[in-house]
Amino acid sequence: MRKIFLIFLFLVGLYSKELVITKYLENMPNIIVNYRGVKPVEKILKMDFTVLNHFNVKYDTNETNNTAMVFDISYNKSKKLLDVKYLQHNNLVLEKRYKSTTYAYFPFLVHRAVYDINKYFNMPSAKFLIRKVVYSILTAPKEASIYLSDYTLSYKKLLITGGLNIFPRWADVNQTSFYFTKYQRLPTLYKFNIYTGKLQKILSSQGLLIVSDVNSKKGILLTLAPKGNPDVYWYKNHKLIQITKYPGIDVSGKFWGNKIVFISDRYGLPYVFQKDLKTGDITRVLYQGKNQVGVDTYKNLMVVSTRETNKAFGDNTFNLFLLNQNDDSLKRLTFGGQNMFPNFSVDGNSIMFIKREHFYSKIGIIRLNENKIFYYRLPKILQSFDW
Amino acid sequence: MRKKILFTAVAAVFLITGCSKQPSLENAQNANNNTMQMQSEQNQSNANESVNTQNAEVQTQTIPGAASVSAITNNQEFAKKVANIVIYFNFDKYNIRPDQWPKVEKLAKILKSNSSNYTIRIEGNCDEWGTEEYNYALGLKRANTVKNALIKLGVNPKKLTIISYGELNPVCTAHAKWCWRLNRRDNFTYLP
Repeated sequence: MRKIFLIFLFLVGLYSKELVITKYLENMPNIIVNYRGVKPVEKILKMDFTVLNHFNVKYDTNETNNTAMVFDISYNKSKKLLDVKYLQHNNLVLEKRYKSTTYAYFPFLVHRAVYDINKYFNMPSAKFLIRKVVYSILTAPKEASIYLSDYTLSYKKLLITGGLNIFPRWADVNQTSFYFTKYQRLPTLYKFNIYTGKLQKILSSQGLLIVSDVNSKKGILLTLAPKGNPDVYWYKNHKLIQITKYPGIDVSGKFWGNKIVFISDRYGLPYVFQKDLKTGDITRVLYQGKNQVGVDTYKNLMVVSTRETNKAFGDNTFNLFLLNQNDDSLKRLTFGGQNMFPNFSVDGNSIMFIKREHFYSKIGIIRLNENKIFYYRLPKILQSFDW
Repeated sequence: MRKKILFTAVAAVFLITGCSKQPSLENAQNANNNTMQMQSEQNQSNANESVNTQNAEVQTQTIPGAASVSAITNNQEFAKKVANIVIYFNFDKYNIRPDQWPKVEKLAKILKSNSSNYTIRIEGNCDEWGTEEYNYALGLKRANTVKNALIKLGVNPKKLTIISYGELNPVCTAHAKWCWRLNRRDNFTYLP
């Protein structure tokens, strides 16, 4: 009996990615973090290490027998200074100082410090920590404002207000500007620089105008409906190229290698389709679920939100699936609730999404390599976000 | 039997280790503050803020005659008539339901009776199910369907414009069937 059990475990170990990951997690570096300062900073610090999931962290302990890596982190609220000291056998190896002009900015200081610690140990990229988040939130009917935040949504700064301001999307990798749609007499696309405050009008269109994807080399994918039919358009060098021409609904265009994927109801319900840019052929991508309403791509990866139940009213289940173009594999990422609006991080290692369960919303972060999901509270329902 | 039990137990252990561990983290709300400033992003908005009272010299003008007042009243009445018509749709659909068709005919009649210069904005709306782009497209298709119907009934297409509010303009915010039904609708707004 024991032999059968061992053989089974051996076979599982051979073919299961999860077990490989578990072994990796068991070997995470042990570090000790001694923190001095106000509680909110400590809360963000602990959250960062938890979501990062690259270290076994012990906080505020004198125990040094199993590890030689000790970090002394302190925050001075009046000076808005975060100091990080790395000690090895009681010798100071590295010292870093992070400063902001306001106290409210401290989440970004903490994120940067943890990001630097992760980088110092050459651990896998964790750019999600230091990315800024732009999000739109409904404040009243026909009123939505755009805010800037850190990934925990702890920091909050109002950027755009007055009327409907929706679908913000970063315009560049360095996050200096973002696009958003403002509802005026016609929906109008603007580009806003968060450093200079410059507001630049790009174009306007009847009915619908949404930036779906931005690629610094390829251009922008938009959903436009100049004649009442929503279609995917490619905006490059001030020229608009119509990508889809179906008389129903085509939305959410995303670059995916030499293809553009989008959501279309050409089969009666919304599903993910792809258009080959060389041949012009349009084919369905995924046959999972009752419908597919949300999609995002990163290099060879695609994440799709699919409805798995078929209720006109009530608790439908929307789950996220990860598709790998290289090996045609499909992996279930979530297990229940309504998981929507998947959005890859800039390094492709994480996916941020919105989970709704019993009329409450949470932000979810999937750490793909670590095989874990972390949730935190979302006080209001976000209209959309980008990070 | 023992083999089966052991095998099930092993499978369960594997499932637990394979599934994602999902600790819940409470968001640090203490840090939220509308008026907080960023390092350099904030500087621009402070630098651009100024006040100048030179233009604040009020000129008063009395509105002459009754004609313009009655025109405003007429327009208001027309706008009210148009705004009172609401067309509802089925879940995930953008075709006009047979029971809603008489309202479309009534609206066409009202619009054709007014020959002045105006625009009617047909506003497509959706329920809370779906925050993705698709929901906005669905709202737009609802607006476009009614626009095409009105054109077929003889309304001048130049007087009609369409927009989608997705789920951003709910008339009802309860999480219930009857409420979602009220939000899947087209509204009509008079634009002078």
